[in-house]
Amino acid sequence: MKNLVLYESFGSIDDEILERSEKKMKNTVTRRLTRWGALAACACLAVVTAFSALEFFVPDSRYDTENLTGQPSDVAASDVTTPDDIYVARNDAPGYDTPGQDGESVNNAPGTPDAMPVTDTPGTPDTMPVTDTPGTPDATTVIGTPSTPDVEPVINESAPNVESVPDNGSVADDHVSVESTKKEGSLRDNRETLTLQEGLETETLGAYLLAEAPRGFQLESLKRTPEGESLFSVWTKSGAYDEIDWKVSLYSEADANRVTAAADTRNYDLSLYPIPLCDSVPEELRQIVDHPIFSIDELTQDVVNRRAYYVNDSGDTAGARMTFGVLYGEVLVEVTTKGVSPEWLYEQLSSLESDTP
Amino acid sequence: MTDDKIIECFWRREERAIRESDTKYGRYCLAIADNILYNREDSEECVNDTWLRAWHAIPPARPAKLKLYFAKITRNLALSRYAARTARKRGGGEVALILDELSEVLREPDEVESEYMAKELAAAVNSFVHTLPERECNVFVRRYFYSEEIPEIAKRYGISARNVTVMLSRTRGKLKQYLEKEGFV
Repeated sequence: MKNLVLYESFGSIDDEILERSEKKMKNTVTRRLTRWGALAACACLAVVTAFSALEFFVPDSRYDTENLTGQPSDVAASDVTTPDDIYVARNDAPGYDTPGQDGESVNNAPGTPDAMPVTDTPGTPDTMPVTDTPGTPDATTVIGTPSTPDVEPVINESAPNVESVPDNGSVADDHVSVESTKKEGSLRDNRETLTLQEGLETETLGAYLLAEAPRGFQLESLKRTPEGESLFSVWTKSGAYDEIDWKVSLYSEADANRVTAAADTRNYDLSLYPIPLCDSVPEELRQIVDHPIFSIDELTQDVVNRRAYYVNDSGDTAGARMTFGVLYGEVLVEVTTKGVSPEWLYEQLSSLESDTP
Repeated sequence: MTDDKIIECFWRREERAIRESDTKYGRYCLAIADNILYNREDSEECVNDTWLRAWHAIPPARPAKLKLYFAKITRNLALSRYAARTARKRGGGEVALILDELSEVLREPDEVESEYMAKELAAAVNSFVHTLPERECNVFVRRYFYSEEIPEIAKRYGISARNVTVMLSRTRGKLKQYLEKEGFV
């Protein structure tokens, strides 16, 4: 009968709670897919429009590595961006979720609004556009057409002002073509793959890399941008969805609007904002709440704890998830973690201060 | 008819208050009773008893949310009927499963002895649900107040049945901890 008494006691639950439960909640996955699906569709449209525009201006340059004048090009084949390059770049972009790698969106990081995860089928890709972190190739703009035999843009800055007359009689604007090719060229993954040792030995930035992850984690990739201004490392745990993304870069003015004082808790304290964050975080605070940056002088265990949020989903990793950056003078360390404790993360970030000059 | 007008009818002792209540909330209350009793006939009697109970209670009562007021009366009546029935024989249906689930929360046989303790327990449970995140709370309430089946809850909130099961299991664990802290276990 004790169970019956307990069961009866549920009869005293407040009306407001009962009333709230009457409302059918739309599946967060559906909501999220709808939202991001719309964004993806817009991105696709933009890409198609861009390709169409290129096709209109330079119809003779299709599948041709010659420049716009029709003269043989001195551009190496490797400098030509092909659709395949774009596809590869997308897949290599940091944070890009490859099918089977993770059943959950990259945007599960608190950085991303609406971090409610709910796929029940591990391995099912919840493919979402990737958060556009500084220094990250804009993967959202290339959704799309790996197999589309569209224009292969030519990078030939040595002859930027040469005009060509395409078949349709219109005058091609070479400036447009070169600008377009520059943009698409940036999508290639020019980053150099490093070993952990090489990464740690990188001047200035290497000292801020994660040298050792908790037991079970392995370094999946470590890459350095050509100019050496950023290092990207990804640690994953085999057989789990745990992941540590650890990015080290030089601080730039573009990051300034994300820097917050620890006292301004509304800029970063996730406990103040119920999930989905897109509904609870004010628009003007969204960027800073998504990816706040703290000075190492102000970083405390309490600050890290306030960045942690927990998602209980069957089939996925339990435990804290965190996203934020820490500024060490001119060096910015940005972390996104799933499956490690706030205490461990704080210890790592604090130790960087004492380990580095 | 609006809830306010139905309540006015109760206050004026007009019998159409019961007809209007039955028209508007009859199926809703029937579903609640049937989730507990698993017997159409008993459930219909239970709903009729609900109107009678409301007739005696209003006035002086003036419920702020008539629908939930009826829901609570129906639930209490259905549980009483269920208890009486199980005194004779073991009942089936969803409640038997629910009681099995709840057995992990309170273990000792004589933990809840007095009416006073039952009231305290009800208050503690009410406080507890306020601590839960919205979705978890909703699922918990649908299961343990409305006695809904797990697939039904899953459908309502657009999540999988397995997800509901796991969520309920974790919430029961939290409830147990909460009641331990409050001195009930």
